Amino acid sequence: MDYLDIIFCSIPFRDLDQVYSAPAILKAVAISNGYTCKTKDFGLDLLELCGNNTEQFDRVQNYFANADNVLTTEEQLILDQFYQTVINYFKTNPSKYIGISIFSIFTHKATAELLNLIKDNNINAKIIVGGRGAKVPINITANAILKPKGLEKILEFGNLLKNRKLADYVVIGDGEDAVLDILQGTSIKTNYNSDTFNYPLPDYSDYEFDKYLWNDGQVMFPITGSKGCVRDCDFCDVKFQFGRYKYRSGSNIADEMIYIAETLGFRKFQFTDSLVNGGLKILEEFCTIIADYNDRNPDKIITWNGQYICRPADQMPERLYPLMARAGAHGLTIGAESGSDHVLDVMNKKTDVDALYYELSQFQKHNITCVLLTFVGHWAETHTDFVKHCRMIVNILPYVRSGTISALSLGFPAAMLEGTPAMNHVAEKTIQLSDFNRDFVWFSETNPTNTFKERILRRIILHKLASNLQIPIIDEWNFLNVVNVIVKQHSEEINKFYENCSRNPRSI
Amino acid sequence: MKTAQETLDQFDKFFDELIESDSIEIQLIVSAFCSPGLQITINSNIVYDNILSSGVHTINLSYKTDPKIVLDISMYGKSPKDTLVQNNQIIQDKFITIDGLTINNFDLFNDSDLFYNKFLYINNQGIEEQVKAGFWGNNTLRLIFTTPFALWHTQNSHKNTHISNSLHYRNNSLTNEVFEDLVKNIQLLT
Repeated sequence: MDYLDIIFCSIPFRDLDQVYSAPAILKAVAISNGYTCKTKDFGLDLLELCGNNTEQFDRVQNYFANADNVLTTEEQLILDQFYQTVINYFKTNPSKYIGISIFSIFTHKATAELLNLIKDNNINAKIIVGGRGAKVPINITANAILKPKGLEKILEFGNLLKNRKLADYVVIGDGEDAVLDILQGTSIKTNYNSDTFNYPLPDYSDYEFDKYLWNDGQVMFPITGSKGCVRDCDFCDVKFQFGRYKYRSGSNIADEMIYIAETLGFRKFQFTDSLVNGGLKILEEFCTIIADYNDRNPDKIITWNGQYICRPADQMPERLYPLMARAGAHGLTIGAESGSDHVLDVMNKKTDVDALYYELSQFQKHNITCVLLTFVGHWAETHTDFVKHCRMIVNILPYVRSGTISALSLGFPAAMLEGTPAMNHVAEKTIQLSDFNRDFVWFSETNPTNTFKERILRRIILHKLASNLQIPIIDEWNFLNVVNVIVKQHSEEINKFYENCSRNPRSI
Repeated sequence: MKTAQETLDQFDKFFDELIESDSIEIQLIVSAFCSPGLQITINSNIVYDNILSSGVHTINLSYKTDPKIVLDISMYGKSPKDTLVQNNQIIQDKFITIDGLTINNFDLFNDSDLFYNKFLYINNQGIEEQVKAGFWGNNTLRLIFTTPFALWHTQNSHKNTHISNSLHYRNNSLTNEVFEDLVKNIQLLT
């Protein structure tokens, strides 16, 4: 049997309303250098095993996002079939290397279980792991599988897998050059940060676009205009993951979109960027070209969505809004985060609540829709800040009713993530993390009433508020279920943790 | 209420305070033709009265809130002589079209379900007619609502109250079950 050189795959936890472009980007690099390669999104196999029932898919998927989730017999059967499907794929498509994208901490559990199975099934491909989730310590969700001891608990997940001989290579940073180094047998660097976008166009030839969860079956084609972020918000690990902000020119992005629209017929695009308005000159250049294209082609207009930062009103020229609308902007995702200027300031968000209202008024005026992301319980959030947050939810209601805000995400209660600026407070010993759930169960000595319980209660209030106001909220079950399982399984440890923190403050 | 627990225990009071509003802010955008008169009253108090020149007018009004509000927007000053007909065609007329109407930032004009079902349209003989987005006679457009307006609007507008089709896969019916369980389990924490 002929061996492929490499397979790049995505595994759950997967949001199937998005296509991950990393496998296609890496495939293009491999193919253009003469290697054979396939890409595979195993999230689609799981959806298929759930009979394309998204509710069941959510339930089974939540197993990966949760340390203690118990599956029903039927769900367990689906999970077993899923892993068997993956193993069968690797057996029928033997390759020298398997590249696994560990997209986030919620991919840790599936990665650990899958790598154990690969080993047990004597699949002898060399394993490469990479992605954002490889760079952070093991998440609690995978603890029961790998049982990390001592320093392993704070080792990067990728290196933990390597130490356990479950992976052969760990790629930290951009994968394009790293993959080539591995395929060519060159020793790999500890960190890859590429400043260039001079790589071949992504190769999506293996992608089964029609199987994703698109609105009305209309494919959102992924496109990358930048990596990193111009901000460094204290709860966010984008800077840690991607390094400094890197971007393509506006005309380069527009040319690729027009090329794909004209040659492949995909006219709806989804930016994979952390933000689409990092550089306003680039945004204006890109939008001008696409708006002109749309004006000339009214029967085949290009539309796009992506993540968008809210800027202070005086930073965003008013002329950009109608231009964005003409260029097909819609369904932008805005990280509004908090309704308290104090919290936004401490977060280093470099914007305020009035700026959000201004953005929304401009969006409404020009028929640009958006989804707002928010969360409660930031380490600096007081009860007064929380009330301001609630007031913001009330104040945006007209934009919800007009459809400018199509939905709101109330988010997880604040998490302390590896690589975020907020973790400096852990080093400074003003924030203590619990051993059993570092992300969610923590204690701020400068804001001691903001406990895990308080954060969950604030989150419950927000849920009730949004329900009373009939605001469409997204992903709520996932958020509630994760925290509910933590509460159920760890209540005694949580109570003990806060008792100890109150008795033994470390910095005061 | 200084903690989340106290707030949750008195959620209805918290909600009422949040949604409370001191004033009614109205923005009406109209196009006027041949100098009609426009009068706006709130609870029978005249808050705007003007002969409009031809063109677009944006009228912003603020009114101290009352528990119940009757908002009347009326055209006046039109007589049969103002409609000029030639060869069975109207060649000149006095009328007003409504181009936009917001109350406390809620867009009422582009919510056709609410606009055509919650407003009343009363002709100069006091008889209710089908709601129109303007005035071609000395008629009145009336909205009766309670305050806080945001609450009335939430109870009366059905626009974007559910996850849209484009986001349906990010919704599911399992939420209430988990939510109730979480509310119960949170009491395990001291």
